[in-house]
Amino acid sequence: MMRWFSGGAAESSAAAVKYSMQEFAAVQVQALESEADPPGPAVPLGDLWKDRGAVVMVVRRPG
Amino acid sequence: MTQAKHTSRLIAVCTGAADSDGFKAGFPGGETYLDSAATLKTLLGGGQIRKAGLFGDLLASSTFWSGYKRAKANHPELGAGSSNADGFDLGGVFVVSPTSELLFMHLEKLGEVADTEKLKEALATNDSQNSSGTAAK
Repeated sequence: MMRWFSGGAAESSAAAVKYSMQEFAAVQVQALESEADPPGPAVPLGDLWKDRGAVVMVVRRPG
Repeated sequence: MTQAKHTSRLIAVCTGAADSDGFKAGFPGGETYLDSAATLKTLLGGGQIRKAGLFGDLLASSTFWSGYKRAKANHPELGAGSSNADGFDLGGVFVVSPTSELLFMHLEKLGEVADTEKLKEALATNDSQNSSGTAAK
């Protein structure tokens, strides 16, 4: 019971994460230049780090 | 105090309506991207989006609340930020080299922050790879 409440299942899955960079690189993302503008065309995430590397923050919401 | 200049890009990936202007104000030079299908979060969770647990992460973690209040006080320019979006989904941060080598990974857990020393080491490693021309062109 406590395991369920503490989010144990999610933690277990996190431990089982396999960091396949090919999968990460293939994720399609769209640039957000400004809140006033629509998102840009989809690009593979890997394109963003291929020139000089990147710090990628996966956020709940920027800010 | 001087801050080291690193060669890597700073990218925020979000899944919903984005406060991209606020992010860019708080992180000059940063870029924001939308992952509307939450594919990246799902990969980070090993096939499902990781969620903050009620007891494990919220009620039992006073450091989360104090950290949250401190962040709001120190960075008013960031606005409402993460307080009114997909707040229970957990994210993370990782550093990737141009050759797609994973140099650093932190899976978010409320009340905990990434190890900044290890993050800096990863950035330095990336810098050295860039300067030595290891990067794929």
